[in-house]
Amino acid sequence: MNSARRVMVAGIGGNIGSHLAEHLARMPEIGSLVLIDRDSYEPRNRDNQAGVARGPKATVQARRVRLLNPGLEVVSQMADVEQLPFGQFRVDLLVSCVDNRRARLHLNQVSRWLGVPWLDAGVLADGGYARVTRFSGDPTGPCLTCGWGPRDYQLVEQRYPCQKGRGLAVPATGASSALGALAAALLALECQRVLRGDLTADRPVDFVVASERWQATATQWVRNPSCQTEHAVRRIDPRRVPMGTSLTEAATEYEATTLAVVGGRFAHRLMCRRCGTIRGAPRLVRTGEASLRCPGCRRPAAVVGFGLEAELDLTATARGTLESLGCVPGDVVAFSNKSDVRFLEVSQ
Amino acid sequence: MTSDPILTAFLTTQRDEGMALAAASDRLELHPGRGEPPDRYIARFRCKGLVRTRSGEIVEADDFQVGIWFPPNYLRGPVEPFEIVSWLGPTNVFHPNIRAPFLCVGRLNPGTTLVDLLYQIYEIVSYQRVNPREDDALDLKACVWARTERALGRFPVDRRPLKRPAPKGAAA
Repeated sequence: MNSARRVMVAGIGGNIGSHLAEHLARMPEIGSLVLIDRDSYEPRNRDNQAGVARGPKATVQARRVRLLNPGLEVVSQMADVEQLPFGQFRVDLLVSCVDNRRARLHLNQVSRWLGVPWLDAGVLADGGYARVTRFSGDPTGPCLTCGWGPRDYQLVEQRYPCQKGRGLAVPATGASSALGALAAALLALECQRVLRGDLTADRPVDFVVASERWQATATQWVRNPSCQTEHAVRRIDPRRVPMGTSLTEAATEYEATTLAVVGGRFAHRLMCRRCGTIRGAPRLVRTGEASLRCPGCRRPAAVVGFGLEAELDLTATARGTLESLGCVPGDVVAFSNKSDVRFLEVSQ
Repeated sequence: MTSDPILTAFLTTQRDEGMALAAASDRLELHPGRGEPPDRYIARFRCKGLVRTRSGEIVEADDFQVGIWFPPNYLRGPVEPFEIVSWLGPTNVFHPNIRAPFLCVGRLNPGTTLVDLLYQIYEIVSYQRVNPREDDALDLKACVWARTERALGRFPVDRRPLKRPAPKGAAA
C-alpha cells in the first residue's frame, strides 16, 4: 500500500476538523499531513470540539496526531487558506472543514487549477444535517460553483476596512459535538476511499445525513458549462525558480513581459499610517491583506486599492528580485508574453 | 484589455453608463484610466463635504477624489470593498466612514455597477449618508462629532442631487 500520500486539511481545529484529526492519524494511506487553521482555541470551544487545549488550533491538533501516530510527518500552520502560497496546495488530497463560503470558494479554485481532488464537509445545527461533498481533480467534472447563482456569490463573506484585524466575523455553527463527529466520520471514510482509488464513476458527489429525521440523501452533480470558475488545470513547470532570481534575468529566461503571482496582486501605492505619505513600490499583496510595511520607515502602511495591479509589467519594472517583491517559497508565479504563460513554483 | 469576454462586456457598460452620469452632473467628473475598456477611474466630486484643518477646525471643502478599480475577479470572487474604492484626497477629510485611503461603502456584491458606487460615494461625502456607530467607524473623532451634529439636524452638508435635474417639461 502506498503510504506516502500527502493530505492537507483546512479548518482542522473546528467542530468537524477536531474530530477528523484522530481518524486521519490512524489512516495507513497517509504519509504526510498538513494541518491549517486560522484560529486559536477559546474556552467556549470545549462545548463542541475535540482535543481542546490552549494555543493555535492547528498546533494543538498536530500534537494530538503526533501522539497517536509518531511516525506520521505532520506540518501545522496558523493561517487563512487565502493567504497561503499556492504551491503549498500541491498535495494528493485536499480536505476542508471550514466555516465560511469565502474559504470554500478559494479552495474550489485551488482544486480546479491544480487538479487536486477535494473533499468538503459541513454541518447545519437546525435539522442535524451533516454533509460531505467530493470533487475530483478532473477538469470535466463538476465543481462547487457549478451549482452557484448570483445569490450564492452575494453571500460570500467580505472584509471591511472598519473591521478590527480585518478578519472574517463568521457566526458559530452552533452544531453539537456529536454532529461534528458524524460529519468527521463520513469525511474520514470518503477520504480513505479517495486515497485508495476505490471510487466508481457513478458514485454520488454529495452525501447528506439528516440526523433528526434519520434520513440520508446522495446526489450526483453535473458540470455546468457556464460555471464562473475556470476548470482548466494549470500545468506547473517541474523546474523551480529561486527567490533570489532578478526580474531582468527572469524576463529574459522566460521571454516574459508580465509577471503575476497566483492568489496575489501588486501594490504600486502604499500610504504610510504614520506620516500619511504615499509611496510607490511594487510589492506583493496577498488576498485580503490591507496593509504592508512602509518601505521607508517600516511602520504599517495601508495598501491603496487604486494602486493595485493583477500583473507586473516587466518591461517597466526591471529592478529587484522575486524576494524583494514579497514572494516566498511555495508561491506560484506566472511569466507570460502575448502567446504563452509559464507557471513556476518559487523555491528558497 | 482583459481576455475575459464577460468582464470586458461589463467594463464597457460601466464606462458608457459612468460617463453618461458624469455628463449629466455638475458635481461629478469621471476620469477613466488606461485600457480599453478601462478597469479604473478617478471620480472627482465637486460637492460640499468636510475637512479638518491643521488647527483642528472643521470646515467645508468642495473637491474630493476617489479611485475605483474593478479587479479581474470582480464578477466572481470575494469582493474586497477597500480594494474597489480608495479615498485619494484630501487626506484630511472629516467623516466617520472615511480614513484615507479607506472609505467604507459597506457591503459590495460582486458586479455592483460603477453608477451605483458613484451614488453611494456621493451620499457619503456630502453627509447624505453617515453611519456614526463607534464600532463601525474609520474615524472615531468624526464619529462622536457627527452623532451630535446629526441630532441637531445639520446633515446633509450638501442636499443637491448628484444628477442635474431634468428641465421642466422635459420627458422623464
